[in-house]
Amino acid sequence: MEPKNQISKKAIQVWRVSGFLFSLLEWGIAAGAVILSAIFNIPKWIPILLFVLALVCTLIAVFILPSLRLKHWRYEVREKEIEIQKGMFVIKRTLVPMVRVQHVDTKQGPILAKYGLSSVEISTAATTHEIPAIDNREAEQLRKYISLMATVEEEDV
Amino acid sequence: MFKSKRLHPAAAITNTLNTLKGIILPYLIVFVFGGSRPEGIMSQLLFGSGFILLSFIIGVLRWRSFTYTLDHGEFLIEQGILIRKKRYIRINKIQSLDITQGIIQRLFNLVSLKVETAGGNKSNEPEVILEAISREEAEAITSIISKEKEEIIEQRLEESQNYPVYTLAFRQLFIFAGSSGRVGIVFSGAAAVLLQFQEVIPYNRVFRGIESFAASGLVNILLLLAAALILSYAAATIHIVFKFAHSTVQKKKDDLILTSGLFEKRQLTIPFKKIQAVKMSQNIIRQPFGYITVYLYYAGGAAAGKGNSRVMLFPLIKKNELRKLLREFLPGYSFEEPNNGLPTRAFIRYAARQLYVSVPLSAVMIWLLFPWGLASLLLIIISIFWAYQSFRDAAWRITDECLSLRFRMISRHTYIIQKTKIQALRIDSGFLQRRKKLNSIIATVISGTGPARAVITDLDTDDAEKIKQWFAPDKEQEMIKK
Repeated sequence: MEPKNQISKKAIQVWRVSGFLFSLLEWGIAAGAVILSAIFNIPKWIPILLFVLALVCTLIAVFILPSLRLKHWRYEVREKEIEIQKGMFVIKRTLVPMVRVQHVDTKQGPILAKYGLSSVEISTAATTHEIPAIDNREAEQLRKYISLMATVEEEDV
Repeated sequence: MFKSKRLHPAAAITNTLNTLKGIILPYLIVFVFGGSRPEGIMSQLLFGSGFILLSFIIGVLRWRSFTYTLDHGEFLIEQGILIRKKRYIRINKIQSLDITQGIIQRLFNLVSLKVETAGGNKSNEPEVILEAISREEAEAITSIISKEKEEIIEQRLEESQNYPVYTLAFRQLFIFAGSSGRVGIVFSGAAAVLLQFQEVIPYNRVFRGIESFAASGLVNILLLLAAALILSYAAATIHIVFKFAHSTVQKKKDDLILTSGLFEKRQLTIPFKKIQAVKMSQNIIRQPFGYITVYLYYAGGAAAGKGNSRVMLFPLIKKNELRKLLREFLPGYSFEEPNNGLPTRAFIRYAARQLYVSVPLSAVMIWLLFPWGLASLLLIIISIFWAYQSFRDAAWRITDECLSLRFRMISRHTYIIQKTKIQALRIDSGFLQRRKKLNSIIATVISGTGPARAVITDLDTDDAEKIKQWFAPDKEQEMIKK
């Protein structure tokens, strides 16, 4: 029985953009290797290998990972508990009782903002749990709902 | 209701010592071992005493400039020699007061009072130490603060004979100190310090005798090493004996009161409702003798040292005393040994995890140093044995409101956590675990320096589900309805 809600489908776009931006770093390293190999006596196959690696990583980060990640991200907010599931190879399911929640934050970076998404961060006294990339309105609702439910039963830590 | 007050003049001495403690290392580096050291024994001494005098003057000035006031629900500290600093702490924000007594305080029959506010692990939270005040003054401050907080003042003179008291026996103190395994740290520390002093101590002269002694054979060098080891072992043991001598645990109505220390006495009050988890650990030296160490995890910044909120409740107790003692001192916890082990198919994964490391390692050893490298096959045997132990040790149990998880890292740990203190429960299923219907379960509790995790790897999926059902608040509700 999996948590029933999926995060926003638009998360795929967000992860594609961020994956692409991140892989620019690898292209930068490969370009650097070309320059270095022109100056110093470095075998040609090193920059070539780096370029191939960068290409493969970019393809994976842009075309394969985002949809896989979306498929595996699930959450459900019930009356007294929150359940979050993530991970592909190692599936991690976390159960947080409402009464343990200390505070809830919503966060939004520039890429998320462009797609009208936010991520929700749920903190207990010891841990922090994130639900990434859900609709702004839904995130706000979730934040309000969780804060409301969490304050119903105030307990000593 | 409270006038602005100074500390006892003895604070000037503790201030001086604190300043000296701060500069001793830089001083040694620059003026004793460094290039710019003064020539000759006399100027060395002069220079050194100059520094001590300077620290003393600073210490006195600091004492003169430090005042505290308790007024209108606020605790006000003014300090600073050149720059005056004022710090206000609202009394209702004060979390804990800890009274300790160091050697200097003892000489003058004084105590030091540490005031802590919430959030023990956030370094920017205000915190105040009154270095030297009389015991009566400390009691007065404590009672005013607890009155302000409208809490029931815990009567210090309360008849303690109504409540159980545990005292660490002398014999067990020594066994505890001797089996702590802290020798390694002391040994390497001592070696580092001795090497530092190369310039001061005429090693050449000292060692000339030893060198000829050593030249006579490897056996002698080994003897020398053994002597050094025994010495550091003794030093480590003595240190621990001092630290844990007179360890007592006292149970009051709502609190546990822990004291320990021969020269520097520490006292710690832990309210029962702040206790987050109980951990019982057995290191490999102690396990064969049936000795166990019991730790408490608790919330709120209290002074067990450096904002850490884990404390040894019973440094060393026999396994057969354990249950009786814990029942007496920790109501609401059940101490049945975890009895639900792992399915046999999990053993393969335990063994595999060890063999991934030990087999390549021993293969490389055999390849590099052929005939002798074969000895590394022993490593594989040990790693399989270790895997078997870890597999056997992993177990869980649910009793009423408590979850017990037992597992082995290097020592064997058993966590007992009340349901209401588990912050989050995580169930992992790795790619290979799914094929075998196995899960890992991770329970997180509050601890001072970040969350503490109790982890059981590779338990049966049905068992993991049972633990989740027990923990989940929503499902529990449904069961009651039915």
